[in-house]
Formats: sequence, structure tokens, C-alpha cells
Amino acid sequence: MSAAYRFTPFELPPETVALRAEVRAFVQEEARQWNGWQIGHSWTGFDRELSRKLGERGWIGMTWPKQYGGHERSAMERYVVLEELLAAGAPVGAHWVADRQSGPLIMRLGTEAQKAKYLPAICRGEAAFCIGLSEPDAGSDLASLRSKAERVDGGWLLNGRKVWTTYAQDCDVMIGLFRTGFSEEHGKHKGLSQFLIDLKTPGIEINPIKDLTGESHFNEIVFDNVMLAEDALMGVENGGWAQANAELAFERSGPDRYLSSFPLLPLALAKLGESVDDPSIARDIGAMVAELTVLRQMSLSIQNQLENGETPLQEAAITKLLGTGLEQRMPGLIADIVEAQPLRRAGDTLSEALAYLIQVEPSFSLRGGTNEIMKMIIARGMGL
Amino acid sequence: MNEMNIAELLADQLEKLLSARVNAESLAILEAGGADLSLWQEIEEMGVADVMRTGADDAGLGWQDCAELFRVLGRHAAPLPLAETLFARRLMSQANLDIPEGPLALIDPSANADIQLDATGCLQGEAAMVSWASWATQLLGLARRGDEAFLFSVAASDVAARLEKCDSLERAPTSAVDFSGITPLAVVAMSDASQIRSGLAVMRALMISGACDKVVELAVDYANTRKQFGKPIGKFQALQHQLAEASCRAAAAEMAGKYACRELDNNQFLAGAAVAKYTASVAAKDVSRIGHQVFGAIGITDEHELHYYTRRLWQWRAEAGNERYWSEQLGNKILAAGSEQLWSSLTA
Repeated sequence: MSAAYRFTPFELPPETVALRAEVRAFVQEEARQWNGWQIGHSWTGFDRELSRKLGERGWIGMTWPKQYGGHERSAMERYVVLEELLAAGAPVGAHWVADRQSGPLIMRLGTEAQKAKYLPAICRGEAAFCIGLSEPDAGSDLASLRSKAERVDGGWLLNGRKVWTTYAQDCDVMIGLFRTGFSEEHGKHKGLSQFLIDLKTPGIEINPIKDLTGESHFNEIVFDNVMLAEDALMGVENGGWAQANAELAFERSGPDRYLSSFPLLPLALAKLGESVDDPSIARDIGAMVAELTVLRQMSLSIQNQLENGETPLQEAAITKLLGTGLEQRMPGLIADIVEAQPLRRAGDTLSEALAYLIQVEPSFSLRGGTNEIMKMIIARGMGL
Repeated sequence: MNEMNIAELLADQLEKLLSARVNAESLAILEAGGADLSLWQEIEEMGVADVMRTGADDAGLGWQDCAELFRVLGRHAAPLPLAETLFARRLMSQANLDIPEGPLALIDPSANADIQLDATGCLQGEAAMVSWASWATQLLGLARRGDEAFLFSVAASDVAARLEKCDSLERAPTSAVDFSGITPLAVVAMSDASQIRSGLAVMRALMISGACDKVVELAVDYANTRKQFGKPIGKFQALQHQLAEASCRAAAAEMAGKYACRELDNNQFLAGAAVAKYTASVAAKDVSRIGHQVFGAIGITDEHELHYYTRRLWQWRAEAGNERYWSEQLGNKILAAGSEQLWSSLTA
């Protein structure tokens, strides 16, 4: 039996119009200080000051209850804020992960004490989270991870190694997935648990890994007899795999899965001007805009289903696969269309943004699950 | 009963009827020149061909309501001009024209159809390819006089001798029609003629999306049953990845088609149609390619049913503007509006 997906057009409610205008005006003002290289970073740009300002305006943790610092607004209002920030390439990395998945996870499964401790700080833009999943020997095959958390007197003892953890060197808290049960007994997916880990805890060593741009955004983290309190366990012991998986429909379907290269497009249009006599340029631009339009509709459709308590994992995998494909093609295509040289510090925003994005776009179809993993998920859903 | 219920009920009824009556044999008969008018009669009795009419006493369903109907027609490669008739009756009702009995043909204005309305009220020019012309009681099209555009209808009997049969990839009854010297039954000035081109594009996009679903479904079934190297070929990751890609393309075509329906219902004619037909045409190309790759040689044979769908995908991709045509239309609109407008128009 083949899959029947649920993709239903969803129109943003009218109350989002004023909010959008407000966010857009704020972002335009902030954008004056960003150069093209920074804009290229989009949601991997780390700027605590911007996150604090967004927190002040009530644009982090928007949908969460007021008692935890949230603002009880709709998922669609949140969506509008996210897409306005991403369209401008705002450096939202200092709160992105917390707002997108760590916060919702704590809200869903956290204890009262955990909620009170972390959620208000996230909403203020003051608690930066990272996700500790991959290990040196566990990448796409995540369930084979080996870092251990042992139950000991007074809490948990962590040992092992995480890798490719984005901005761990700048973050406050990690939600890490560790082995708590023996794989033979539980099956390798079952003996895993999630922990809330203060990255200042003794025994944690964070080693930044320089990437091909010359910057260090990801890290290796060594856990050497790290002692955590009893209440560092997140959710259910040995239930970490299912918990981490439930986040994925959120993680894979947002506007950050198709807008990472978007800021290039208005810059390119400005450079081209209105008199373009090469029809192939019009076609390339029309094709990109058509794809963006469809991806935005898919993403909105999924948000709407998530809001209604559904978990459209297949649809999210499709949206991520198509979305990252587009954001991956855009830098090269746009560089060709405008005949721009990708140059850092060119004084030209487009050249600078291209310089960053051309180098990092290979990561778009890796982060959040590779293309190959997405295709595996889709094929399984199709009954293959 | 609300409108959405009527639309869902009709799509469901149509699905059942076509599942029972359309198969490789009936499609082969159609393509050999036979006509199963009894099926058309049943369709008329269902009342489904009238649901897009917009008069006071009509159901007046919009494009969004009817999206699934068009997808069902595509999924079954329906051997009758229901899609064309639905849209043509809508256009005639909007123009307050009398709607004749029987199926209607619609002339695609983007496909080599340059028809003028001369000073004497006669048509001049020809249309190179009109689907279902030989079945229709009237033919509907767009004629120009200077900067003005007119919707015209022509009695089938007036052009019967001028139909020149042509073999399209679809092999449904298709003709070149010379309209020169014909006096139309009706001529109505259109303030925005682009709705015909856009409506046809969205209609074909939805039919492509239905046919893509069908090809993916057939390919998955085949991959799960055909064995090589001791296991079903669907167990090979190389095939799984191709089928996943096909499924993505089909999903995008469906989303794009439904989005465009909303745009048409809001009287926004260009952008939605461009998005839909661009996306669907890309899907038509990729899904047919992958479908045939999965089936191997058997899928190329006349005996196997796959080609009834893939030939239509190729035909419909080219009709009502292909992906190059619509991406250029959309790109020119974006370029003309300028950089400042881009994000606002995407989020409007």
C-alpha cells in the first residue's frame, strides 16, 4: 500500500498581519548591523543580545503557558515570527534550539521543577540549549550510541563522548541522549534516556571543532565521570528514543528547513534590477519562487496538524528532503545568475552571503537527519 | 449538507464509478477511436459535470471544492472530457451563456492557438490541438481583437467538417481545428482573459498529481512483488530512494495544485497557476521516469497498463504551459515587482 499524505492548504489567520509588520520593522532595524557573511549564517548565527531583545518582545516561547514565561499565542503566530527572522538571515542561533525543540520537550515531559527552572529563562532569551545526539561511532545509526549514564547514589554518573554538537561551546544546557539500559536486554532503541545537562558541570570538556569555513560551530564534548543530580533525567528512564523521535516532526518541518539560503534571493533581485533580457534567468527565479511557495504551504500544513496533536512524520520527512534540496541549490544557482564572486569582506552583502552559504550548504542535507535517512523513512511509509 | 460534503461525496462517487468502469481495456478502446458514451451518460446523471456552474440555482462549487474531483480524473486517466466540461460550463455560466447538452471542448490558449475575431464578427485562425473536439457539442475558446479578448463558443456542427484528427501522446480524441470564417454562437468580452489559461493549467496540474499518485502506487506494488536476486526489488535501497523521490514529487504536485485552487477562488490568476503547473510538470517528468525505471522492460510494453498513465503525464506536462513556460511567467512577474516586494508577495 502506498502512502496517502495529508497536505492541506492552510491560510494564516488575519491576526498575524499586525504581528508580521511589527517583527518585520524590528528586523529591518536590526539588520543594519549585519554583514553578508553574518546573514549567511541564518539560524546558526549566535547572538545572545538579539535573543534577549526578542525575548523582551515576547517572541520566544510564544505558545507556552504564561506561568512559565510564555505568551500563550498560537503556533501560527509563532510561525510568522520565525519566517520573518529567517527571511532576513537574523542570527537567532542562541535561542533557536530551545524554542524549537528543547522547550517543547520540557513542557511535554518535564517535571514541575524542570519547567520552572528552564522555561522562563528560555523565554527571556537567556538559556541557550544544544542537543547531544551524535557520537564518534553513532551518526545516522544513532541508536548504537554508547555514552553511558549510570544510576548511582544521589543521581547519575555520565561517561562518554558526544560530537558535532552545535554551539556547545557557547550554550548553557544540553539535552543529551545516553545509554541507561543494556542493549541486549532492552533492544538498542530501548535502553536510552535523555538528560538535562548544565554544561558548566565539572568533568565536561568541550573542544570546538574548526569547520571548513575556518569557524568553529560544532564541538566534541567529553564526559568524564560527570555527576548529575537525580532530577537531571528528562521524561522516562529508557524512553529517550521515543521522546527524541517525537521532536522530529517539529524539527524537520519548520521554515528553517527551506529558508536557510533565502536571504540571497532578494539581494540577487536587487542586483539584477527590472530589466533582465535573459529568459533563463526569469525561469530560474520563477522556479525558485514556485518551490519556496510549495514548501511554505507544506510546512504550514504540517504546523497545523502538529497544532491539532497529530505527528505527521512522513510529511515532515518529505518537506525536509525537498526543502533542504532547494536551500542547497540556491547559493550556486544565484551565484551563476548574478555572476557574483563569493568573497568574504567584499563590502558587498550578496558576495559575502554567497561566500558563507556556498561553503556550508553541504551541511543542510546532513543536519536534522540526512537525505538518505529521510528517504528511508519515506520508503518505509510507502510500504516498501 | 454543506458544500465541502457535497464535493467530498461527489469525489468519492466518481472514484467508485471510475474504479469500476475504467481499466486498461476500456482505455485501449478509447484510444483506438471507440467512445463509451454510456459512461458519459452516467456521469451526467450523477450531476457532477454541473457542479462548477455559478448561477443562482447552481451548486457553484469553487476550485478548492473540486480539487479532488480533478485528481480522481487524473488518477484513472478518465476516458472522457469531464474536467474540460466542468470548467467550460463554469465559464459559460459566468458569461451568462446557454449551456448545451453534452460534453464541451476547451481550446488551450497557450498551445498554438492564435484566433482572431474580425470586424465582421467571424473567427480567423486555427487551433493546432483541441482535446475531445470530436465529442463536444460546442467548442469554447478565446479570440482576440486588438487588445480585447473574447470568450467564444462554436457549435460542433459548424466545424465538424474542419476537424483534422491528430494523434496526441494521450491518444484521446484530439483534433486540429480551423475556425476561419466561422461565426460563433456567442461572443462575450472578457475583462481578464488570463483566467482561462490559468484555470486550464491548474486543472491539468491536479490531473497530473492524480496520475502521479497512480504511477507511484503501481510502482510500489510491483517493487513489492517482483523478485530478483532472491528478494523483492523493493528491498533494494537504490529503488527505495528512487520511489521516495517520486513520492516527494507527487506530494509537491498535490500541494501546489490545492494551493493554486485557493488562489483561483480568490481571483488571483497568475502566481498560483504558475506554481501549480510548474511543480506538476516537474513531477510529471520525474515520476514517469522513475516509474518506468522501476518496472523495467515490462513497463514499456503495450500490454502493461503503466503507459496509459505515463503517456498522459507527458501529454499534460506539455499542455496548458510546461514548467519552462510557467517558471518564466512567474519569474518575470517577480522581476518586475522588484526585490522589495519578493518576501511580502511570498507571505501575502
